[in-house]
Amino acid sequence: MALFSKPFNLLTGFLFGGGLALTGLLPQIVKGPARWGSLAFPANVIILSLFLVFLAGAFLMRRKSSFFAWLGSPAAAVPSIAWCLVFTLVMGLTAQVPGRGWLGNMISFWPFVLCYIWLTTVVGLVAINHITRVGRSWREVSAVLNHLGLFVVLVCATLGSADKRTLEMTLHEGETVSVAVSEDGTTYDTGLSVRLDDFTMEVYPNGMPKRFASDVVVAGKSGKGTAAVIEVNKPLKIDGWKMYQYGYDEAAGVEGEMSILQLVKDPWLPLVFGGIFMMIAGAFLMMFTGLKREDAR
Amino acid sequence: MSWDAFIWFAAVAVILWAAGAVLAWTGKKRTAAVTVYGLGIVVFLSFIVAMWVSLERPPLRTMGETRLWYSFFLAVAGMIVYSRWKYKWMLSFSAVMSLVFIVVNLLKPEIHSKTLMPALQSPWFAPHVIVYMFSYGMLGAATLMALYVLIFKKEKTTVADMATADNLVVTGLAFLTFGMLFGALWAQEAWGTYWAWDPKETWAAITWLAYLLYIHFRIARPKEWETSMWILLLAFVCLQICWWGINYLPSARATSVHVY
Repeated sequence: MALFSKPFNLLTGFLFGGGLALTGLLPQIVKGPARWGSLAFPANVIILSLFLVFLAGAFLMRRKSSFFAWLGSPAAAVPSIAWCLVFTLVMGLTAQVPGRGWLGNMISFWPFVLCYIWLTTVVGLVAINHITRVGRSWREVSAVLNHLGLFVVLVCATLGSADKRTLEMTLHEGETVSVAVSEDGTTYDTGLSVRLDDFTMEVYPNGMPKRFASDVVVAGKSGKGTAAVIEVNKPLKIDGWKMYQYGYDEAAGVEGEMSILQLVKDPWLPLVFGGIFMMIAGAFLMMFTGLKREDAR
Repeated sequence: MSWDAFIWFAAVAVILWAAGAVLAWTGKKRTAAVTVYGLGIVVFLSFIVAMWVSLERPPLRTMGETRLWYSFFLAVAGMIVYSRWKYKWMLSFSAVMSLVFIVVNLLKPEIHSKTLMPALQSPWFAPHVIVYMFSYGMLGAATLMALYVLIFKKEKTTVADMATADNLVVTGLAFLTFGMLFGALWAQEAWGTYWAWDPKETWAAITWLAYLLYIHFRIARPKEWETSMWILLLAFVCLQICWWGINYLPSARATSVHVY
């Protein structure tokens, strides 16, 4: 057994990633591409809970099992990053157009998905490891923020994607509308009533668009109308919806009296933003703490 | 203050930067080098401030105006790194980088009147681009360090050489992270989605992963210096593709909204 006392290292890590990629071909061939849409609530919350229980178990097992010790170590970090890098490179070199085979729909390609799940697992375990040492130094604080932040972003962005609603609402001046249409053509009642009072488009002297703005009155649950101007980069937030200036009557141009708003509701967004802010704070701290240097000893 | 005055401010700044860089190469007069170089930065900044006052808005809206800030921040970055880690070549490097953007601004003044599409009219625009440029400067310096270690240096690589590369990468990676996340926050504000796997975003992720690979490889295999340096070169190739190479990639040209 002595020979196999430390069977998991950098090299076996690269092989593990290769095995994972091959394994991913199985569901890809049998069941087809990963269906992110099937993760809608409550499936995503159940999966997240199971995943967190698994991570806690893996953390507790780290002294008994060399596999779980490795899974939260730099020797797993390097090959998991490398494999994700390889798949993302292929994605960057291949036009991502639905219907163009496996590689043309990389985010649903099982080998890609499995490698990113592996990466997320490693990031999660490394985060727990650093949390247990957080009192020791600012470098540990930085490591917690970096890894936990990335973990939260990866988990919430993927598991939460199915709960995100993105709708288009078409408005004509003077009309009040409460329904909006999703990408697949389904009509939803948004619970809002939106009246477009005026659509303004300004152009530069050379004809390039300069500003689009929709003058609207929006009534939400409370029933009270809120007057607002929605323009590009200046969305309106109401009742959990964010309303964006999205489109206009391109044929009519400046004379147009129609505006398309995009309505987005993403219940997981605050968590993702929490993760993003942790990563920003962690990266900031990292500049002062630097790398832990083993070769300097 | 108008753009016509730019060439004079820039000329004085560049002369001071060159003088500071020469002093740095001598290796002895560090305080003098930083002082002279810093004076150049003050001269350059005074032009930006004057523009700000005369335009009655921060000069951050056009590409030319943001290039002003790249030149400024690259010089600042060079001075910080030089003061802290004392690399002789750092001031020359950052001065040349700044000069490139100054020359572009002098040769392409028509850009200043160019219109800005509504999506770009955001307070995120300048910080997003400026922190990316600062990061690219740092990672460019790290690449020079890798080439120096792998190709030009005759003597054995030292722990200090590796520490230099590590420090530059850590700073560059921190700013790369800021740039990417500011982009995500901006995209959320502009389009209601923080990440859409647009080819530019995909390549930003590739570049970020490549530098993460370097950092983690340094931790996992602290003594394998040569391999680390090769990872650094690979990462810089990814960075270049992300920055401008993407405009020539068929896969990106077809679908990206981020080609400019």
